[in-house]
Amino acid sequence: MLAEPTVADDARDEHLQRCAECAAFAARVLRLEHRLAGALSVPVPESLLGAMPDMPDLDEQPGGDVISLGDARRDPDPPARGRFGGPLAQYWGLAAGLLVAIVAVVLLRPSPTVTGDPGQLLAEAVFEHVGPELFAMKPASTAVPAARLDAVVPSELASMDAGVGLVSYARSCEINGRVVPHLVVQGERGPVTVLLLPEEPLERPVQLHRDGLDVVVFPVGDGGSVALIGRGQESVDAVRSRAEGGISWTT
Amino acid sequence: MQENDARAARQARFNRLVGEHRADLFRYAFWLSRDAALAEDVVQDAMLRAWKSLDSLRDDEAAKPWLLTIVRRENARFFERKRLETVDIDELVGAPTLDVSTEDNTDRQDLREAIFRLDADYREPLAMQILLGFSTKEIAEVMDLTTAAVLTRLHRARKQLIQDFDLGEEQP
Repeated sequence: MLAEPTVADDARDEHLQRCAECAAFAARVLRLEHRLAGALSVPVPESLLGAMPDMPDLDEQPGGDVISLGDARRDPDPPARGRFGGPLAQYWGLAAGLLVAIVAVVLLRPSPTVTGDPGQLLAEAVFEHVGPELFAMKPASTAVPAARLDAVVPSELASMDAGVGLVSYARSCEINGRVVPHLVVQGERGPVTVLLLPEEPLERPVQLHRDGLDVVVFPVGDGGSVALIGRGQESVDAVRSRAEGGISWTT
Repeated sequence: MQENDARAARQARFNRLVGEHRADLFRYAFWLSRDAALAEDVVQDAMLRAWKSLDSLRDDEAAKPWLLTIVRRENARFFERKRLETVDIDELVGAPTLDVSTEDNTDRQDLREAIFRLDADYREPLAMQILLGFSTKEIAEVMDLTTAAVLTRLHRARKQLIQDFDLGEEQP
């Protein structure tokens, strides 16, 4: 009864018809079940309600962690395992194709702007990170709940002045092996992604323009920096002046 | 044009499969981690992984357990990252706090706190059964347990709630 109170059980039901005490207990368990369902249904944050986001374009390579455990067991049409046409041959073919593609990219790509300078490397890392989350960088008028912002930017990490702008997106992300706040701020000229990097020292600001995005990373305080990413230099500049004076480290 | 059509179809399939379960996945992730902000991050990450792996899901009927498995793994990844970052084991996870309720129903709040106190081994299958409607067999598959082990955990979870919560009838 306590393991599966709502699963039909003829033998149990027959007993409950004869035993008043057990029937009373069963009724209380079912009432608890109803209360549990209500208690478990906690409120859902707005970011997970409403319209689904536009998902980013995929890389050509397949996802690195393909989930197929349960689905594989239900697969009604498993791949044929012929001598030369089975999955192993397909993987070798894919590997060979990828190798050719990688060699072609290395030989044909234009000279990279990364020169090994730490600032440039950081800007590159920021650019690569933001790509899959570009869907979050869209105009919005609703701020994230204060509790959410406090969780992502705790007071013991940084102080961010409200004048920096309306924060419409906030989550913790990983850059260079460190968990950092990833925010989207609504600027006068469009949304701008703001990454707070308290442990990424920088000697001077660095800029990067690629694929329609403008990245600027500038030093803040001792040993830290802030990265801004926007579509167009004007959108980034509109937020930068407020961010430079409105963000400080408290660690 | 064909590429755009394929992408639109993929997005539509993703919206249909994931959109239906988003809210419950958050609730499940919340009860797994006992942290609303973390649960939100976990589900966002899980959605990205599901998007990348969507083509591996051949049977749309299997979307729910498939998504749940992704959420479980993302939750585990987060705690693994935290474990590698910290030196002091006491700082591994800050004391979880139940900070999701703004309602006046104290009975519901009390019950949430009782569920909060349950061991994770009991809390998780209970959430999967009641919140997500998983059968004992489905819970066993996702958690890689025998059905007998799942039944034991479910029994102990309710027994502890009855004891901790006094099975007092809901107060008017």
